[in-house]
Amino acid sequence: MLPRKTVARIGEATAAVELQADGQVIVSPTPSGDTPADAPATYRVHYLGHGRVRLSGPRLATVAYVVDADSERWVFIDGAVLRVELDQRGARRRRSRAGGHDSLAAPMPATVVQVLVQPGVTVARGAPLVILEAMKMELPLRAPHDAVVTSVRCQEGDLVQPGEPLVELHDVAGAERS
Amino acid sequence: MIRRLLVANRGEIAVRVIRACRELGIESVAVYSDLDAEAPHAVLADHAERLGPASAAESYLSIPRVVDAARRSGADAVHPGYGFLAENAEFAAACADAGLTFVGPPSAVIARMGSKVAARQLMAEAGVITVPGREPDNQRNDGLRAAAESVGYPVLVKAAAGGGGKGMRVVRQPGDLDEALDAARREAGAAFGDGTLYIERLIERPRHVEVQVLADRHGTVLHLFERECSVQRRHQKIIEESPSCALSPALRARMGAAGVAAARAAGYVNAGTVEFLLDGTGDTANFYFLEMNTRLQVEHPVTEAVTGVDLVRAQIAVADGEPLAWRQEDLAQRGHAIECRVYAEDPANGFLPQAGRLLLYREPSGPGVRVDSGVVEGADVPVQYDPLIAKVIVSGETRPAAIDRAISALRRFPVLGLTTNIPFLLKVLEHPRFRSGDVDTGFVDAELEGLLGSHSPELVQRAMAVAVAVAGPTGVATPADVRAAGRRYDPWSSLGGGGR
Repeated sequence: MLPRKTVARIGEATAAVELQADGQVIVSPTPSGDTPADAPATYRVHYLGHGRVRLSGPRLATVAYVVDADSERWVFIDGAVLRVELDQRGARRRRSRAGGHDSLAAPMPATVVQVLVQPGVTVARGAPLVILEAMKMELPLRAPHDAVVTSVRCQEGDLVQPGEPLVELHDVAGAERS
Repeated sequence: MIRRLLVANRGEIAVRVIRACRELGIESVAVYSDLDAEAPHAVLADHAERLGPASAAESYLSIPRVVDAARRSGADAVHPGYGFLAENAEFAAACADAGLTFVGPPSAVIARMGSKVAARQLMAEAGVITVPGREPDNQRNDGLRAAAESVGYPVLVKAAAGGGGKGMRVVRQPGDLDEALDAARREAGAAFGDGTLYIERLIERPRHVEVQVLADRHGTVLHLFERECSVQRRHQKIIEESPSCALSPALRARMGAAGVAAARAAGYVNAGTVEFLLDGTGDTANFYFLEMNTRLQVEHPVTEAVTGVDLVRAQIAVADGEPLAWRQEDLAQRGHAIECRVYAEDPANGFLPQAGRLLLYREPSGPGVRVDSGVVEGADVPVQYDPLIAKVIVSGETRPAAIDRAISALRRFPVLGLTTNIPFLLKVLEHPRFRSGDVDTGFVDAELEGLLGSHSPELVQRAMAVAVAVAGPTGVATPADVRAAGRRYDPWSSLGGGGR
């Protein structure tokens, strides 16, 4: 059971979320950097079972869907999909990432067609690191955040399996934080 | 008469064919790899035969294994679906040799149309225009320059031996040709060991428009009008519609006639598709033969929706030797239909295919909404096969009505636990260029940034509110809860022959 007050995060956005006994939810965004926070919004949520949630508010009434996956909740609202991290779980993930290492692996059996980085290189979030080929398509493996490449553990032509680390990264933002 | 038909495929298309068999009173035989023993197609069919391990090469792509499964099951016919062995001439021949009726064209036709060079030559003889191009015997720059002049600028310089963009150069004016030729020759030589170049007219911002054809064994060849499939990513279609808003009645008639001429020239039998590149719109547009697909297409339901013809049923009737039940003048397009392909893929990450569990999967329904799928809630989408999970086909009185209906259906198609392209499809449908019909095959690449979009702060707040929704002591739905729900709601378990 969740505490009545929790912190939710979607990407860069965080908010304090307060759930009241009558199903009212108050979402109060926290300011990030220089941008002032959006005003708190109040909704009413009613869990209908089987992942269905009735969501209503001012000029709003819809059925949304939610499931609990490993470290986050997946929410579907009117065709949009958002992944929400909640309180301690989010905090734990942030800690483990701060100044830590990430290793990137192929999502499926694939062939390495191109290695675009060497150890020591700084890469921006979204930069392609390795180009894989699977299912007749070229698939870029991209940096999940700004980082320094600490090691490259594959070369062109390698046949790689899912889970096998291909590139290891050191989190730049995390290093600055710690 | 076909009594027992083996469906040599998996996923939504296998389900589609099995349903047609059921309606026709034909026994169906599914085939499955070890990963698919409990997949909807395997459960739904009257009989199911194991092919082998998960890898496609050892299961759905293995001709001996599929033919052997047909023999074991006592099937007298085989429907190949699309993909896998559907355009494999050897497979069609192996079926014929085993005394099985192949629901598709003869092996020789598949082989002929499968060769781009042979197909182009055949079309030229039949008077169907291909993209103007030359491979001059004089491969020196002066010979290639003469070829470029006769083809007309802008031109595409291509490696005759290869593909994949290697050795390819766009040349807009004669002054830039020499440099492009030298570079293309070097690249082609390095990549393919053959520096022979091919000069082709560059069609800028073409639309992809294809013509559905049906031919029987008695010499009747009909076209079932066009489908426009210009919304593509990675050269793969994601949204298809019929009619195409780029065609005038006169152009439609010319393209339909060209489709029939192409099918006749090929000696075609059964359902097929003639693909064209369309340059321009309306009466003055030019169209060029691209290739012929000798099988049922993924997007066939769009044609079914506007013509009222059940293409799979027609395929089986033709394979059974029956004459087509229509004359050309009996066929008409009515209303407008759009198909959206729902893929397990991440558009924000180069459309990277995704694999994993469908923790929550609820198909939309309603008037004018058809969903063809081969998955159920709680199932895993494997990495081994094509990541297409469902097709949403809508029909409406007009194109705007069909677009509105498609948007409404996708907004009620929650798929969670696995990233899909549903939000991306919605962005395409809502895009002003799509709405106005101003699309070409470069649309997705040109508009990618806007199509990926970001969530409004309001939507983010709403999602956070939903995420904390609580029901009783267990909180929100857990994966186990959802899996249990998935079993209870499984629409297949009541239809299939057990195994679940």
